[in-house]
Amino acid sequence: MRKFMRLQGIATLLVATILSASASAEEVAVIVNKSNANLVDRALVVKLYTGAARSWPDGSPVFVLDQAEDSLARAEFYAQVIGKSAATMKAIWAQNIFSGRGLPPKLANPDVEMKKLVSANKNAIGYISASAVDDSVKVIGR
Amino acid sequence: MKHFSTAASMLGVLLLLAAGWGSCAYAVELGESAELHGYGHLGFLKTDANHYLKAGTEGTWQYRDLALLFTGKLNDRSKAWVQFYGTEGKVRVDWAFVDYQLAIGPTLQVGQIKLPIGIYNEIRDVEFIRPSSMRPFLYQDAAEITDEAYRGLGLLYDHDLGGGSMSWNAYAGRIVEFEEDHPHIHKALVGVRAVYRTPVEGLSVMASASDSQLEMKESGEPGHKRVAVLSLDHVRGDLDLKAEYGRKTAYGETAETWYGQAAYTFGEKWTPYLRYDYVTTDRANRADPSFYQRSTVLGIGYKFTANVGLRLETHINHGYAMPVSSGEVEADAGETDWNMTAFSLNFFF
Repeated sequence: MRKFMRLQGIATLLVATILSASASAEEVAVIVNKSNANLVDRALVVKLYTGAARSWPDGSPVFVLDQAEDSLARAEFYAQVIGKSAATMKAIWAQNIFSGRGLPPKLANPDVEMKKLVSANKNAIGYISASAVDDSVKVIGR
Repeated sequence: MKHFSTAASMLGVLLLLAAGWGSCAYAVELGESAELHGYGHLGFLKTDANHYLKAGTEGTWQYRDLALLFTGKLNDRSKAWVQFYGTEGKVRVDWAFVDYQLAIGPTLQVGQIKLPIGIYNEIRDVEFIRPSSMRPFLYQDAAEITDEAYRGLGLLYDHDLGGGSMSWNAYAGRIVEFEEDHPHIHKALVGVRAVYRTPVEGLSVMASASDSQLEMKESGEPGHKRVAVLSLDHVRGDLDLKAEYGRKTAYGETAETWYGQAAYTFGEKWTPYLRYDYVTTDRANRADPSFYQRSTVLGIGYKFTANVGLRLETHINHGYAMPVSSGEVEADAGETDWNMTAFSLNFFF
């Protein structure tokens, strides 16, 4: 009986680990307004989210949106797309703010709010869970 | 007693920040289109010989400041910025300008603007951002190499180059004199900084140069202050490497400085750092310890939260050019080998 309980415990732990791994690896989709005709690659997304670029290639001002610090989508976006840790991003934006070069992205949380803002603003860029994508926005990368 | 109570109250503010605002993002939102940011630090400084930065063998808590930055969005292309900076009971407008993003790409800035020289000049007072408590010599007031701000017009422009990208910052105007005890006045200023972000992740090189016309207050003799700085910046993961060389010429005298700095962050909390720093305030006299200073800085930083941290560091100095230049030690009257200890609590939001 004790052996059975130990096996059951191990199985539960394995299932929990698999579930948590799949949850933390949830795919995110980078989205823009449907009318945005700019060619957007990963390099541009990185520049926009680090303040190294302030406009779209056509010269329009960009409106960058971010999810809340504790959101899963945000953790995944910065790990997979931007490739920088939260601490590094803090340092980058502190430098941008206090040198007057730019302000950090505005928060739009959760996915529903992000989609609403991106679909309403032609210069907006954001990201949401891939499972939340619908035809109100244009996906430029996953 | 007054110093102690001020220090204690600021410590209280820092602890409140650590406890309550630790998880806050970057700003206090002031309505739809305005934000408030800020930073500050409370530091203790002590030397074992020469007086410098108002510190001596008894130590001082006077090493503290607080800044508040208000920003407001004027429209989709324009923002207004104003930063108030307070230290030693005095408050000043540190910088205040309006920017405008032109449709063809560049951004214009008009007003009082932090001088874009090297890696740290625009953020020289924001201790939280750099590893060490004290700035490298290049950015210390006593070295008189880098000025803080100018009034005039700036132009920012970014573009791709090869596998990397370039950022240009050209400016013209006049240096702001925060202190009035200089023997000269600044007149017309021009300058440029070019930053190349290489295809190597986290590696940037930059070159900065400025030329400010001067005039001696007493004699009216004209002159130029010319500054050139070369910088290498490599931030990759938890490793932060920096190296800079700076040179200033004015009225036939040349000051020179360089440093190399390495920092590594463990577990997003602990950051030990090491810097080797050299300055000579007059190359013609660089063999005289009154005119040069070498400093090995060893320290450790700790982050309580993403916004609040502390630094503890020791400076092993040879030469005392900075205490002489700041007027706190007479030339030929200082100790050549001396040490300094700095401790500070700092935050930003």
